[in-house]
Amino acid sequence: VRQLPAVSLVDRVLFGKADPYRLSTTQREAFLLDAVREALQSHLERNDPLSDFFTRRQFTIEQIQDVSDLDLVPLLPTDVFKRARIVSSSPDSIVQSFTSSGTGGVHSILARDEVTLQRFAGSLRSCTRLLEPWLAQEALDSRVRVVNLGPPRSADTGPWFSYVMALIEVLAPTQHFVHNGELRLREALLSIRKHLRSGFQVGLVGPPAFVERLVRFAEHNNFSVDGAEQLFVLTGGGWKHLHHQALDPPDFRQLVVDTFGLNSPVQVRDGFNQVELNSVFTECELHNKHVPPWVHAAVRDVNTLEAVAEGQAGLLSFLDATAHSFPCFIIGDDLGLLHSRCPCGRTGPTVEFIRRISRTSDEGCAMKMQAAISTLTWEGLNPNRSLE
Amino acid sequence: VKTDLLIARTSDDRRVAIWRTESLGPPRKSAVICPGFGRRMRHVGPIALYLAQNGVVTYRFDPVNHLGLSDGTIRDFSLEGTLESLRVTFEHLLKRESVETGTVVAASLSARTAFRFAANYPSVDKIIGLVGVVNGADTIRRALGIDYSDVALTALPDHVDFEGHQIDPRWLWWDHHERDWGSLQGTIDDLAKASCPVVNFAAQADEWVDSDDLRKAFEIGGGGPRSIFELPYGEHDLSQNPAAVRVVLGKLTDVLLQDEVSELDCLSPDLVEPSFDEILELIVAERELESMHRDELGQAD
Repeated sequence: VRQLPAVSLVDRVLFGKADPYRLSTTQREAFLLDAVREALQSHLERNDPLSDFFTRRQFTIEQIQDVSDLDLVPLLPTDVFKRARIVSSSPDSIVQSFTSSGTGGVHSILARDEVTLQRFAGSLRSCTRLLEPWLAQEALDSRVRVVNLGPPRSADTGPWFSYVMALIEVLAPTQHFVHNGELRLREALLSIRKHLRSGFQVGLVGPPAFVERLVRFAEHNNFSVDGAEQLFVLTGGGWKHLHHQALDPPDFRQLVVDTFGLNSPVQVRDGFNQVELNSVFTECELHNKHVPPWVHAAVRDVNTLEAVAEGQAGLLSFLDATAHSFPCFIIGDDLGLLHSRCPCGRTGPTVEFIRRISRTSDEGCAMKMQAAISTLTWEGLNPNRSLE
Repeated sequence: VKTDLLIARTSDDRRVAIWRTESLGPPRKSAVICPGFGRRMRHVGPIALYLAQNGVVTYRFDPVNHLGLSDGTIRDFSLEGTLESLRVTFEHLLKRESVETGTVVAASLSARTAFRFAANYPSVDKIIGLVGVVNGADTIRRALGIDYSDVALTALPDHVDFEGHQIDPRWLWWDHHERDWGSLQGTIDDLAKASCPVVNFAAQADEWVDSDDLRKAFEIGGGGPRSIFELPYGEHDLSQNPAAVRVVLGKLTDVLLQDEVSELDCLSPDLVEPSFDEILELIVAERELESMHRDELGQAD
């Protein structure tokens, strides 16, 4: 018997048979600790500027002895990805560079290699665990049809969000209903009706603003479906520049339930991802967004950037062990809360997003972030340049 | 890669749907790929792609009385049906490619049929098992919850459920009791008769195959060279783990292309690996191809 090279720890859990959201707390913490350590080691060996940054911050991996020590890892403000190309893998291994679809003028650019993309796809698949028992894992490929209110993957090589939504086609047969920038509402509705009549489970996916538009169109045209108990609505990407029209999540869910005749709001879920993060946080049946076990999430004080106690709001930071081509040890612009456990029974924290910080109204925070950035010396990064 | 639908017929005139995938560049070898139980030929597409990019023409098939494009439904699944499907596919390959020998790559329960096939078919030049099953009764007990070796036919339920499919357990009972598909000794006997090299890629954490059984079968059933490659921490459904797939398929391709398995300690430097995007494109394209062929053949989904 000859041994083949072992796959990494994170790949074993990410792609494993066991539900990663149902590891015991002990298993989860042990895995998270080792996975983040493994990721830190890997990036430090391949990324000299990161190594220098950590050295200047007087950080070594040996300081990480316990899960609580993960809060000591120096963080990269997500803004640095707008100013510099921060890559841990060799240029010839990069499959594609993705940009954020943010509302600002300057976009983050994240280079992803095969390993990183594979793991992202794995993270996306693991989210379907949170849709059980409505969705059986083995049914994905055969009994589910996806109606994507977005462009096909092949038509879109830029914004990360579109790529994420289109990647669902790998999990289940998918039709896309944005072509040449046009959202084809009527065709999408007819597709939903056709698949439900054929006895399939249907996943309607898209940004909430597009789903709302579809729902209003259905309402206006007195559109109804039979078998709506087999229809599931998955949103992601937020409202973006339509944030002023955003409905509160419970109101949005109720609108969808009422219009399509769903059995309950459980059939409407939202997911969170950003281009600088390589995992998706999906809602369970209680509409809590679960942090997968390969990600360490923390809340930071907006002024000191120190980790705060549970229940306090602050800036969200993440250490994502699945990112191979770029260091995903990040702090972003989202204010939020962490809850250490969810009544749904799954293990690990859930994250609650409150709002995105405003550079003008959250000046103290912005200045702190500016100070953090000024300690970075990546090529192409101008520390004197304004954050705006 | 270019994939075409071919149809072969079993001895009782049932259709076996085959996908022939051309090699990129001049063909170096020909191989039949058998998907595991509950998987369709499109599920082994990444193996076909990997092999095609390295010069191997592949013939995949959906067994009769199984999922996929061939005649019959999985309710009536039997290993005898899979063996017959393998036989007609392999003969199709020899004839169409004008070759005298070919390799069989078989996953999980299908590997068990490949071992018996090799015992009786000298044109097989190599068997490569992927998490190959050697103790059918034990694996079925673990997967379906029924121990066929210790139950009367009349005591069997009308059906058992596996991954959302209803399966009539009587066919498997007959497989076990009439044809000795289920026992470890049956596998040892087949392997003892098969003179070609047999290689198995095992998963260390395989929940359906006992590693001691595998070692015993390969040690005692030594009708020819026998090798086991073991993936640390691997689980039975390797296809769910792309990191594991990459490790295994690289070595599998090497094993398939080389004559001497024992000399392989590292991958050939000229091995071509499909990219993430190529595999994604293939998965989506072959799902559509299956749908198109299903309509052509008048098969239900």
